[in-house]
Amino acid sequence: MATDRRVIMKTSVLPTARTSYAAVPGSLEEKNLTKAAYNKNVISSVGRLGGSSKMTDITSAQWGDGWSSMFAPYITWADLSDATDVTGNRWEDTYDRWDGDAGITTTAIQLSSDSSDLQFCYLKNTGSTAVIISLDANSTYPLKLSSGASTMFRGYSTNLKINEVYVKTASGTSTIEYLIAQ
Amino acid sequence: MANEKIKYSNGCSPQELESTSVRWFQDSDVGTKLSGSANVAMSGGSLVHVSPKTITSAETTLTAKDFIYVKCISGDDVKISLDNGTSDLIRLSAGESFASEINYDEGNPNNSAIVIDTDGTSTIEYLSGT
Repeated sequence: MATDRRVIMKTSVLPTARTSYAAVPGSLEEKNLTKAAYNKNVISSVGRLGGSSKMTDITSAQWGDGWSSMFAPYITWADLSDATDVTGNRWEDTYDRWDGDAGITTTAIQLSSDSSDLQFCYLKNTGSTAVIISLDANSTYPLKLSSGASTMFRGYSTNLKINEVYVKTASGTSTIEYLIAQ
Repeated sequence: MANEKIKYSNGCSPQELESTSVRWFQDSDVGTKLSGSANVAMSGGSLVHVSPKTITSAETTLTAKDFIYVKCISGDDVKISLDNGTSDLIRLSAGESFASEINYDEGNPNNSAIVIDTDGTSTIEYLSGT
Protein backbone atom coordinates (compact mmCIF):
# COMPACT_ATOMS: atom_id res chain seq x y z
CA MET A 1 0.00 0.00 0.00
CA ALA A 2 1.25 3.43 -0.83
CA THR A 3 2.22 5.74 2.07
CA ASP A 4 0.17 8.56 0.54
CA ARG A 5 -1.08 9.70 -2.86
CA ARG A 6 -1.85 13.01 -4.54
CA VAL A 7 -2.52 14.34 -8.05
CA ILE A 8 -1.12 17.49 -9.64
CA MET A 9 -3.81 18.85 -11.97
CA LYS A 10 -3.41 21.37 -14.79
CA THR A 11 -5.90 22.68 -17.34
CA SER A 12 -5.27 24.99 -20.28
CA VAL A 13 -7.88 26.54 -22.60
CA LEU A 14 -7.06 28.64 -25.65
CA PRO A 15 -9.98 30.08 -27.64
CA THR A 16 -9.19 31.05 -31.21
CA ALA A 17 -11.15 32.78 -33.95
CA ARG A 18 -10.66 32.82 -37.71
CA THR A 19 -9.84 36.27 -39.00
CA SER A 20 -9.92 37.24 -42.65
CA TYR A 21 -7.06 39.28 -44.06
CA ALA A 22 -7.48 41.30 -47.25
CA ALA A 23 -5.30 40.88 -50.30
CA VAL A 24 -2.08 42.90 -50.28
CA PRO A 25 -1.06 44.17 -53.74
CA GLY A 26 2.36 45.50 -54.60
CA SER A 27 5.63 44.60 -56.21
CA LEU A 28 9.30 45.52 -56.32
CA GLU A 29 11.39 45.65 -59.47
CA GLU A 30 12.51 42.04 -59.08
CA LYS A 31 9.95 40.60 -56.71
CA ASN A 32 6.18 40.32 -56.60
CA LEU A 33 4.93 41.06 -53.08
CA THR A 34 1.27 40.55 -53.92
CA LYS A 35 -0.50 38.41 -51.38
CA ALA A 36 -3.95 36.94 -51.88
CA ALA A 37 -6.68 37.24 -49.29
CA TYR A 38 -6.35 34.62 -46.58
CA ASN A 39 -7.82 33.40 -43.32
CA LYS A 40 -5.91 32.66 -40.16
CA ASN A 41 -6.85 31.41 -36.72
CA VAL A 42 -5.70 33.87 -34.08
CA ILE A 43 -6.07 33.92 -30.32
CA SER A 44 -9.38 35.52 -29.44
CA SER A 45 -9.66 38.53 -27.15
CA VAL A 46 -10.33 36.16 -24.27
CA GLY A 47 -6.71 35.01 -24.18
CA ARG A 48 -5.36 31.86 -22.57
CA LEU A 49 -7.28 30.44 -19.60
CA GLY A 50 -6.51 27.69 -17.14
CA GLY A 51 -5.97 26.50 -13.63
CA SER A 52 -3.83 24.14 -11.61
CA SER A 53 -3.81 22.57 -8.20
CA LYS A 54 -2.32 19.93 -5.95
CA MET A 55 -5.21 17.63 -5.14
CA THR A 56 -4.76 15.51 -2.01
CA ASP A 57 -8.23 14.02 -1.54
CA ILE A 58 -7.50 10.60 -3.03
CA THR A 59 -6.70 7.85 -0.55
CA SER A 60 -3.40 6.01 -0.27
CA ALA A 61 -5.14 2.62 -0.54
CA GLN A 62 -7.19 2.57 -3.71
CA TRP A 63 -10.27 0.42 -4.24
CA GLY A 64 -8.30 -1.99 -6.46
CA ASP A 65 -5.59 -2.23 -9.10
CA GLY A 66 -8.13 -1.19 -11.70
CA TRP A 67 -8.13 2.42 -10.49
CA SER A 68 -5.63 3.00 -13.31
CA SER A 69 -6.02 1.61 -16.81
CA MET A 70 -2.26 1.76 -17.10
CA PHE A 71 -0.17 -1.27 -16.23
CA ALA A 72 2.85 0.48 -14.78
CA PRO A 73 6.24 -0.83 -15.90
CA TYR A 74 7.17 -1.52 -12.28
CA ILE A 75 4.46 -4.16 -11.92
CA THR A 76 5.39 -7.80 -12.44
CA TRP A 77 3.46 -11.06 -12.48
CA ALA A 78 4.50 -11.58 -8.86
CA ASP A 79 2.58 -8.47 -7.84
CA LEU A 80 -0.68 -10.09 -8.88
CA SER A 81 -0.76 -12.04 -5.65
CA ASP A 82 -4.26 -11.40 -4.32
CA ALA A 83 -5.98 -14.69 -5.10
CA THR A 84 -9.37 -13.66 -3.73
CA ASP A 85 -11.90 -14.86 -6.26
CA VAL A 86 -13.48 -12.12 -8.39
CA THR A 87 -12.34 -9.19 -6.22
CA GLY A 88 -8.66 -10.09 -6.18
CA ASN A 89 -6.06 -9.07 -8.71
CA ARG A 90 -5.30 -12.39 -10.34
CA TRP A 91 -5.04 -12.25 -14.10
CA GLU A 92 -8.68 -13.16 -14.63
CA ASP A 93 -9.88 -10.72 -11.95
CA THR A 94 -7.95 -7.58 -12.69
CA TYR A 95 -9.36 -4.69 -14.68
CA ASP A 96 -5.88 -3.62 -15.78
CA ARG A 97 -5.35 -3.21 -19.51
CA TRP A 98 -2.05 -4.49 -20.81
CA ASP A 99 -1.52 -1.52 -23.11
CA GLY A 100 -3.30 1.02 -20.89
CA ASP A 101 -6.22 1.37 -23.29
CA ALA A 102 -9.78 0.21 -22.78
CA GLY A 103 -11.78 -0.60 -25.90
CA ILE A 104 -15.01 1.39 -26.22
CA THR A 105 -18.02 0.64 -28.43
CA THR A 106 -21.64 1.78 -28.58
CA THR A 107 -22.31 -0.57 -25.66
CA ALA A 108 -21.70 1.33 -22.43
CA ILE A 109 -18.97 0.04 -20.15
CA GLN A 110 -18.81 0.70 -16.42
CA LEU A 111 -15.26 1.66 -15.49
CA SER A 112 -15.59 0.02 -12.06
CA SER A 113 -18.25 -1.65 -9.94
CA ASP A 114 -16.81 -0.16 -6.75
CA SER A 115 -19.37 1.92 -4.83
CA SER A 116 -16.96 4.30 -3.07
CA ASP A 117 -17.29 8.07 -3.42
CA LEU A 118 -15.40 9.27 -6.49
CA GLN A 119 -12.60 11.64 -5.51
CA PHE A 120 -10.85 12.01 -8.85
CA CYS A 121 -11.36 10.87 -12.43
CA TYR A 122 -9.22 11.44 -15.52
CA LEU A 123 -10.30 10.22 -18.96
CA LYS A 124 -8.51 10.50 -22.30
CA ASN A 125 -9.84 9.47 -25.68
CA THR A 126 -6.89 7.68 -27.27
CA GLY A 127 -8.89 6.54 -30.29
CA SER A 128 -10.14 8.32 -33.37
CA THR A 129 -13.89 8.39 -32.63
CA ALA A 130 -15.52 10.68 -30.04
CA VAL A 131 -16.57 9.05 -26.77
CA ILE A 132 -19.38 10.19 -24.47
CA ILE A 133 -19.39 9.96 -20.68
CA SER A 134 -22.16 9.30 -18.17
CA LEU A 135 -21.89 10.30 -14.51
CA ASP A 136 -25.31 8.96 -13.53
CA ALA A 137 -24.97 5.24 -14.11
CA ASN A 138 -25.70 5.01 -17.83
CA SER A 139 -28.73 7.33 -17.80
CA THR A 140 -27.53 10.53 -19.52
CA TYR A 141 -24.27 11.30 -21.33
CA PRO A 142 -23.53 15.03 -20.87
CA LEU A 143 -19.75 14.94 -21.47
CA LYS A 144 -17.92 14.27 -24.72
CA LEU A 145 -14.28 13.79 -25.67
CA SER A 146 -13.04 14.19 -29.23
CA SER A 147 -10.06 12.21 -30.45
CA GLY A 148 -7.02 13.03 -28.34
CA ALA A 149 -8.94 15.07 -25.77
CA SER A 150 -8.97 14.47 -22.04
CA THR A 151 -10.98 15.72 -19.11
CA MET A 152 -10.68 15.35 -15.36
CA PHE A 153 -12.83 16.18 -12.37
CA ARG A 154 -13.32 15.65 -8.65
CA GLY A 155 -16.57 14.28 -7.31
CA TYR A 156 -18.71 16.53 -5.14
CA SER A 157 -19.41 15.24 -1.62
CA THR A 158 -21.10 11.81 -1.79
CA ASN A 159 -23.09 12.67 -4.92
CA LEU A 160 -20.85 10.87 -7.40
CA LYS A 161 -19.85 7.24 -6.96
CA ILE A 162 -17.09 5.39 -8.79
CA ASN A 163 -19.59 2.88 -10.20
CA GLU A 164 -21.68 5.64 -11.81
CA VAL A 165 -19.10 6.47 -14.49
CA TYR A 166 -19.90 4.85 -17.84
CA VAL A 167 -18.32 5.43 -21.24
CA LYS A 168 -19.44 4.57 -24.76
CA THR A 169 -19.38 5.92 -28.31
CA ALA A 170 -22.35 7.33 -30.21
CA SER A 171 -21.19 5.24 -33.17
CA GLY A 172 -18.08 3.29 -34.07
CA THR A 173 -15.28 2.22 -31.76
CA SER A 174 -12.60 4.00 -29.81
CA THR A 175 -10.19 3.54 -26.90
CA ILE A 176 -9.64 5.41 -23.64
CA GLU A 177 -7.13 5.55 -20.83
CA TYR A 178 -8.31 6.53 -17.39
CA LEU A 179 -7.76 6.98 -13.69
CA ILE A 180 -10.72 6.59 -11.37
CA ALA A 181 -9.86 7.05 -7.71
CA GLN A 182 -11.55 7.00 -4.32
CA MET B 1 -16.92 36.41 -35.48
CA ALA B 2 -17.33 33.00 -37.03
CA ASN B 3 -15.23 29.85 -37.01
CA GLU B 4 -14.37 29.89 -33.34
CA LYS B 5 -12.32 27.00 -32.08
CA ILE B 6 -11.17 26.05 -28.62
CA LYS B 7 -7.91 24.26 -28.02
CA TYR B 8 -7.97 22.70 -24.59
CA SER B 9 -5.83 20.33 -22.61
CA ASN B 10 -6.16 18.56 -19.30
CA GLY B 11 -3.18 16.93 -17.69
CA CYS B 12 -2.44 15.31 -14.39
CA SER B 13 0.55 13.88 -12.60
CA PRO B 14 -0.35 11.16 -10.07
CA GLN B 15 2.25 11.03 -7.30
CA GLU B 16 3.05 8.68 -4.46
CA LEU B 17 4.86 9.43 -1.22
CA GLU B 18 7.80 7.08 -0.65
CA SER B 19 7.93 5.00 2.51
CA THR B 20 10.01 7.38 4.63
CA SER B 21 7.48 10.15 3.91
CA VAL B 22 10.13 12.53 2.61
CA ARG B 23 9.80 12.68 -1.17
CA TRP B 24 7.03 12.42 -3.74
CA PHE B 25 7.57 10.25 -6.82
CA GLN B 26 5.56 9.44 -9.91
CA ASP B 27 2.86 7.01 -8.80
CA SER B 28 4.16 3.46 -9.20
CA ASP B 29 0.73 2.14 -10.21
CA VAL B 30 0.33 4.59 -13.08
CA GLY B 31 3.92 5.02 -14.13
CA THR B 32 3.50 8.16 -16.23
CA LYS B 33 2.15 11.68 -16.43
CA LEU B 34 -1.12 11.90 -18.32
CA SER B 35 -2.41 14.55 -20.69
CA GLY B 36 -4.60 15.03 -23.70
CA SER B 37 -5.61 17.91 -25.92
CA ALA B 38 -7.95 18.68 -28.79
CA ASN B 39 -8.86 21.61 -30.99
CA VAL B 40 -12.64 21.62 -31.29
CA ALA B 41 -14.81 23.80 -33.52
CA MET B 42 -17.84 25.55 -32.08
CA SER B 43 -20.97 24.80 -34.09
CA GLY B 44 -22.52 28.23 -33.69
CA GLY B 45 -19.35 30.32 -33.73
CA SER B 46 -20.06 31.93 -30.39
CA LEU B 47 -17.93 32.28 -27.26
CA VAL B 48 -19.07 33.76 -23.95
CA HIS B 49 -16.42 34.63 -21.39
CA VAL B 50 -17.33 35.89 -17.92
CA SER B 51 -14.62 36.84 -15.43
CA PRO B 52 -14.59 37.50 -12.57
CA LYS B 53 -18.04 36.80 -11.19
CA THR B 54 -18.94 36.42 -7.52
CA ILE B 55 -21.68 33.90 -6.84
CA THR B 56 -23.53 33.00 -3.65
CA SER B 57 -26.05 30.56 -5.08
CA ALA B 58 -26.89 28.65 -8.24
CA GLU B 59 -26.89 31.61 -10.57
CA THR B 60 -25.78 30.39 -13.91
CA THR B 61 -27.43 27.90 -16.23
CA LEU B 62 -25.71 27.13 -19.50
CA THR B 63 -27.66 25.16 -22.09
CA ALA B 64 -27.01 24.00 -25.63
CA LYS B 65 -23.25 24.36 -25.28
CA ASP B 66 -20.49 22.60 -27.18
CA PHE B 67 -17.83 23.37 -24.59
CA ILE B 68 -17.58 24.59 -21.02
CA TYR B 69 -14.68 25.81 -18.91
CA VAL B 70 -15.20 26.82 -15.27
CA LYS B 71 -12.56 28.00 -12.81
CA CYS B 72 -12.92 28.64 -9.10
CA ILE B 73 -10.70 31.69 -8.71
CA SER B 74 -11.13 32.05 -4.96
CA GLY B 75 -13.51 31.52 -2.06
CA ASP B 76 -15.57 28.48 -1.13
CA ASP B 77 -15.74 25.36 -3.25
CA VAL B 78 -17.71 25.52 -6.50
CA LYS B 79 -20.03 22.69 -7.45
CA ILE B 80 -21.17 21.90 -10.97
CA SER B 81 -24.32 20.12 -12.08
CA LEU B 82 -24.62 18.63 -15.56
CA ASP B 83 -28.37 17.98 -15.34
CA ASN B 84 -29.93 21.40 -14.80
CA GLY B 85 -29.19 21.49 -11.07
CA THR B 86 -30.71 18.17 -10.05
CA SER B 87 -27.43 16.77 -8.71
CA ASP B 88 -24.12 18.53 -8.08
CA LEU B 89 -21.47 16.12 -9.30
CA ILE B 90 -18.20 18.03 -9.74
CA ARG B 91 -16.23 19.98 -7.13
CA LEU B 92 -13.72 22.76 -7.77
CA SER B 93 -11.58 24.21 -4.99
CA ALA B 94 -9.81 27.56 -5.32
CA GLY B 95 -7.41 27.52 -8.26
CA GLU B 96 -8.93 24.47 -9.91
CA SER B 97 -10.73 24.43 -13.23
CA PHE B 98 -12.87 22.05 -15.26
CA ALA B 99 -12.87 21.95 -19.05
CA SER B 100 -14.76 19.56 -21.29
CA GLU B 101 -16.77 19.27 -24.45
CA ILE B 102 -20.49 18.94 -23.83
CA ASN B 103 -22.62 16.32 -25.50
CA TYR B 104 -25.63 18.57 -26.02
CA ASP B 105 -28.84 16.57 -25.84
CA GLU B 106 -31.14 18.28 -28.31
CA GLY B 107 -34.04 16.00 -27.43
CA ASN B 108 -33.82 16.76 -23.72
CA PRO B 109 -31.75 19.91 -23.05
CA ASN B 110 -31.97 19.44 -19.26
CA ASN B 111 -29.79 16.35 -19.65
CA SER B 112 -26.85 18.56 -20.59
CA ALA B 113 -27.70 21.88 -18.89
CA ILE B 114 -24.84 23.09 -16.71
CA VAL B 115 -25.49 24.89 -13.42
CA ILE B 116 -22.64 26.47 -11.48
CA ASP B 117 -23.24 26.71 -7.73
CA THR B 118 -21.19 27.31 -4.60
CA ASP B 119 -20.83 26.09 -1.03
CA GLY B 120 -20.85 29.71 0.18
CA THR B 121 -19.34 32.63 -1.68
CA SER B 122 -17.03 32.05 -4.62
CA THR B 123 -15.39 34.08 -7.36
CA ILE B 124 -15.48 32.19 -10.62
CA GLU B 125 -14.56 32.50 -14.29
CA TYR B 126 -16.24 30.62 -17.06
CA LEU B 127 -16.10 30.25 -20.81
CA SER B 128 -18.80 28.60 -22.84
CA GLY B 129 -18.75 27.85 -26.54
CA THR B 130 -21.61 27.24 -28.90
